[in-house]
Amino acid sequence: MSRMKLKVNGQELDFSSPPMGEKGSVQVQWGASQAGAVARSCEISWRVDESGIWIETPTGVKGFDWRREIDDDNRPQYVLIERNGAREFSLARVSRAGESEASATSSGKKKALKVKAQMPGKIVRVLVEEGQEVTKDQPLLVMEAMKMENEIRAVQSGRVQKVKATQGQAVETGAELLLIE
Amino acid sequence: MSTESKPTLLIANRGEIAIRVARTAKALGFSTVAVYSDADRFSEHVRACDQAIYIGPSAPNESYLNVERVIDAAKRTGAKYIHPGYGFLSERPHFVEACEKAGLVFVGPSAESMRLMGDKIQARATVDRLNVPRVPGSPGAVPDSAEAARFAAQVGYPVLLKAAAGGGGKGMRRVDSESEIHAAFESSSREALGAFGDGSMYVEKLILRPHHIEVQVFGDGKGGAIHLGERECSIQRRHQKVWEESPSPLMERFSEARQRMFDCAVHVAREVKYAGAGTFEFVADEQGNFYFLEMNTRLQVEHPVSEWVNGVDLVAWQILLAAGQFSLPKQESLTRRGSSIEVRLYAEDPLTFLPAPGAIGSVQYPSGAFVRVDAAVTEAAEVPMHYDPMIAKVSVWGATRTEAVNRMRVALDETRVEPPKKLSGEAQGSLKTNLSFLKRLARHPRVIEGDTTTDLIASDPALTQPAPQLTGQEKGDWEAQIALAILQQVRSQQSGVLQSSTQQGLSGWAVLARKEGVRSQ
Repeated sequence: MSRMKLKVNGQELDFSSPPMGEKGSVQVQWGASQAGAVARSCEISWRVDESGIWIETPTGVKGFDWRREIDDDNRPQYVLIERNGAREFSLARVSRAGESEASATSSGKKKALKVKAQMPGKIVRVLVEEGQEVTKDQPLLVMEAMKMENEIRAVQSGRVQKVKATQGQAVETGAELLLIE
Repeated sequence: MSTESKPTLLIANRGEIAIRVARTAKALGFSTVAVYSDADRFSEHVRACDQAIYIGPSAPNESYLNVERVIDAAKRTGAKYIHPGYGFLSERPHFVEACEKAGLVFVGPSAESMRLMGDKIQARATVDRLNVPRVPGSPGAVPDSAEAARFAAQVGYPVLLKAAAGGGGKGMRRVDSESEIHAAFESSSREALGAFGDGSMYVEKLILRPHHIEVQVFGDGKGGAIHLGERECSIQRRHQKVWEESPSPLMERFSEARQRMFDCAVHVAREVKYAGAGTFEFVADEQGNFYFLEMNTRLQVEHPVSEWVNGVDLVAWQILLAAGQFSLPKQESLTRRGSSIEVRLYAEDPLTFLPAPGAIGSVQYPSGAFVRVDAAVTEAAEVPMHYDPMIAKVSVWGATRTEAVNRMRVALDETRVEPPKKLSGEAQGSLKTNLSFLKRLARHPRVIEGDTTTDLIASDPALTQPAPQLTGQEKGDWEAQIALAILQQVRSQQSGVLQSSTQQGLSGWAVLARKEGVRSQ
């Protein structure tokens, strides 16, 4: 089978063949793309399960749980959590070598930031109006959920472009409440 | 004991505490009865008991808080005893009276001592009479924000607004200046009204760099009472405890003050003829001054740490006392050994601490010497959104505090709770857990040192920041990079096969053939 090159956050990994199936082994080479770095290579065996993967390396067996998330630009990114350990990584991207890895800074004009409901609940009060300038950490809405009142604060300064939430409204997780630009 | 004479205990609760009570009750030879709502039909506490009775819809008011239905379930199953656990009906005097009226034995204090100590304003009057120190506060509930402001000006800001009927941080607000007090009063009073049906508030001076210390007591109901040492529960988020330990690292430095604290708690418990397990909560400053906050007239969530250091089963004591088979040990016969820590694993966002209940796909708990897990969920299941989103309590014991912290660190690293996932890795449902936060806590220098105040979490933003990026620059990153690349590749192939097959309506055999690279058509 042909070789396959994959990039994780820009770091190139060169596989002796495309990894396929629940279990398998493959030769991996990496580190060659970095200036001054010595390329490393080793044999990896793997087993994927319902929530992640185990890999056997020359120094032992490591397990990782994973989760795919979609960012505001609609691109997938991964969260990786080490099993039997404390290491956790977010914002990991995987791409085929040659594919352009669009970076957050290249996305041109700044899009409106969506303020979303983190859990189901009821809007108790809306504290801002459309067109109002807000500063970071300024309270925007008061939401009641799990019998607690929670202030939703601005994560960045800007102008309120649109208010979608209304007082007394019941909202589901992920519902868009406000747009800040 | 023959089957006919086997006494029956109904557990009027759910989740981990119902399972914990059932374990002890069964070991004591009791037959156990669970109650459950719609949301809990297949929950584990239902299976932990010998029998289970359906008591109504998911909303607590229509099931776990419904006195008639709980008592009816006890009558139908011939239960003589009712254990309330914590929360729900555990601190409602009218429930105790309803039990008595129905000829049932409530496992806990009398309605009278519950009224005397359970209501914060009543409890303050009681401890004042017995000269227990108290934080300067309004003598009673304040009717409006103007009155609250007048009182706050007297004792000086910052002050704390608290719901008279409250608990668990609901209806509680810190106020730093007069300009904030009116809005804060309005919102916490409304929150209290919604949560407890009572919007009355009181005001007290806020202690800076405070520690939350509490004393576990046990009374025989006849005027005898002992203490089982203190717990420190200073590490809190949203005014709710998340890391609890015994003994308190702070009070270890003030053994004389600690002894006075024990004396106060035992004195009050004797005076009100307290029956069973109860907790006196204090706030302490860094000079060892302590002030009474409130009494909880029930078993606490964090009781395992006291069980670890005292070597006793508090639930067994409660049940035996209710059954008239308990004699209170002498204070001198109890010795506390080593150090114990408990953490609460919650279905909540680890960065914002907002509840995030949902489906659990896979779960793995720690094990090993001196490690205990009290779990509500031990397999793929749902954390219902109707109740407190606690998944499990992990507690450990060590000969020293350092040993206990180290053991907790390892135990948390062994723990996994993951949502169910699609082949692409996309999580199904809304579950998040505070596990990553707890792991950071166990490594935090102030936690390791035992320098914990109630504002620890708010004072260090690093505890609640997103996980770092996978840069490839750190030692060991390469394994994670390779693992992710393989996993993503394998899964995208599998979901690709699945997708194309469902699009074309191929049979399962054809899919298999395609996957294996065999021609079947």
